Amino acid sequence: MSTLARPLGLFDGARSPGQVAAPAHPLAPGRAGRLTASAGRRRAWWSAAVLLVGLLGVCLASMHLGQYPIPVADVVTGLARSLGLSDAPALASDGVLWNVRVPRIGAGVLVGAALGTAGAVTQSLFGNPLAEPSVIGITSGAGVGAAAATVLATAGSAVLLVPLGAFAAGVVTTLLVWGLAALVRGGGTLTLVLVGIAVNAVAGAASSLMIFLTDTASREAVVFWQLGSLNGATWPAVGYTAPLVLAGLIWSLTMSGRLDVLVLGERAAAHTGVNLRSLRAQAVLCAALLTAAAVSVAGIIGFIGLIVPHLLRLVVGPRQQYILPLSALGGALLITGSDLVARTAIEFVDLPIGALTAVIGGPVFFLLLRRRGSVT
Amino acid sequence: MTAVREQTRAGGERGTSRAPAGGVQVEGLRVLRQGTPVLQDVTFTAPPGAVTALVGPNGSGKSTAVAVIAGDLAPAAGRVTVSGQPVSRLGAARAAQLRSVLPQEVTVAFDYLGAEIVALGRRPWRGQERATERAQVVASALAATDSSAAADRRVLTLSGGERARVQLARVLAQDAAVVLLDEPTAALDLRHQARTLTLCRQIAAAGGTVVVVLHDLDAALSTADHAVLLDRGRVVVAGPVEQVTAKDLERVYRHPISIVSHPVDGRPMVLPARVHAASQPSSTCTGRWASNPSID
Repeated sequence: MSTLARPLGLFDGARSPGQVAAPAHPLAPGRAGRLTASAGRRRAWWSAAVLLVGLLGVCLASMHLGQYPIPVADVVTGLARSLGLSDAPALASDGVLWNVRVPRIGAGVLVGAALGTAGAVTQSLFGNPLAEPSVIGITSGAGVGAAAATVLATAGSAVLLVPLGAFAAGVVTTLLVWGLAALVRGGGTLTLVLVGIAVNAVAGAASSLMIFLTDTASREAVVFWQLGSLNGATWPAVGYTAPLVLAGLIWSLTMSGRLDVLVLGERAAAHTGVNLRSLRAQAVLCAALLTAAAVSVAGIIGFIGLIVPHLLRLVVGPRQQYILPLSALGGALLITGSDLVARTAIEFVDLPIGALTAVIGGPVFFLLLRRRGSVT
Repeated sequence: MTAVREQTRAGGERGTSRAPAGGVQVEGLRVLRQGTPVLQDVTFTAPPGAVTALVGPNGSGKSTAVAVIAGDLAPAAGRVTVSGQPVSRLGAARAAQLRSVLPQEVTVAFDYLGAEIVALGRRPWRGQERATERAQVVASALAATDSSAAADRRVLTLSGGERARVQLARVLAQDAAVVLLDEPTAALDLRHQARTLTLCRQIAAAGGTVVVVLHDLDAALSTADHAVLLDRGRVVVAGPVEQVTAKDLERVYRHPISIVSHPVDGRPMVLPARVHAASQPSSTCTGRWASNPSID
């Protein structure tokens, strides 16, 4: 028995106050029909397995389906050859597969993982399940940054400037939202949503202004950021996004324990030993990094961070050590699945994926709002 | 009381072996909110092994005093030490090992299990105990607050009183030598109010320092060893509960109050006058109150 961790020894052995019989062990393997912590762990592993299988299935379907269907057998041999695992003769479909579909799927996985986890982090930071990057305006803020960089940058510097612009604008927007929400203390959900409306309006105005002022080529780029699409995903884009997203995911995982404590509210979290200033700053930067990384590849795709963590919480409970990695998986699945639909639903038309996710996200947002009873 | 005394002895023995530090010292505290002083020249000591009750009417500065001791609020002047360490210079992590805090209200934003919420209280000690030890402390803390049934229930499905007890269990699980409780009995029924007050005594018996804000004067004076009576940000009385007189309370609360000795345990019993009809003094209140010019 470590005495260091029990300065008062309130619950040491038989001297436990107010304790008559040894209580049931609440973290022990589950009693039938009740939700225990270990049941949560089992569910988390099951969810991870299901999401992973689903993601692999969607990836395979995505490689197979399209304007130019590639038989599954050819997909497998083509992949093996591209990875140097097979020396079967090259097929005509290889170019489409390796240079168009695989990077697009890779970008979808990265964007989805980033948005799902960014949603979980912002919800924890704001202590509100409705605080999602697109709802509170971080996504559109980052979108303005990316669009501005597209308009201002030359072809060569765009690769670096677009993600940088998205990140800078994302951080500024997150801080702005957070500062504005804090100004109206005690406003709760209503404040957050109102601040989101204001920030989205300003970002929309900035985008409109850019569309109005620039030439046709830039105009198209700006519209592209606003609609959200994986249409432009290339290997270089996947290349620079992957480390950013990976860093953001790992960063969020290092915060999982502290984000859990934040559920008690900022004051009680501080009483429990969390350095609030550091945690807030890290959570803001991490959410902005993930959102910006996603926006710089795919433009503004909303509601992923709202739908995915919410559904997962219903299944595995709100513990961040499960929610953060599972949101990455779930987001990846939702984006790759939506992209598959966006690409194949109407022949020869590449639908904007942002519009698709909003179609699912809007009703989920409303249901969440309704479930909370009052918006304050 | 016998059981508590035995525990006091047991606590004393443990005190020598593990020496739980403790004690809260508040000296010359002055706190301003938007330029208006809400605490002035507040000085008192809450010694280890004792329950110190903070009492006073609404707005007298009780919760502010707790916030300053907890380190939430920086005072304009004065010195606060917890376990001999100045609060202003403690980091959040170290402070959490020295003291635990039960705020007046904790709103949980997500639907964690009761046991998960209580386990958050063990965070200051992470890495210093095994998971099984942590689970044992969590279970004991839940049992001590009579909320074992809440362990595997979602907290948002619990009633207000049950949630309050889970939060109290979280604070107990932190096992800090100094425990600050801001109105721990506010949401509780009679039985759990009594249990919570007994818990305060038991923490003190184990060598802990309990600083508790209580609105129920009777509960405060019958439970606490020391009392700090605040009025509009100033200390009226600070010392053993016996020093608090009915006159002090009447003056501060501007309400007729008498203190008698409890027929069973002999501890002070606070009886506020029952004033019902505005026009006529009730039969239990003799005309004395009505004619007392100091009471309005």
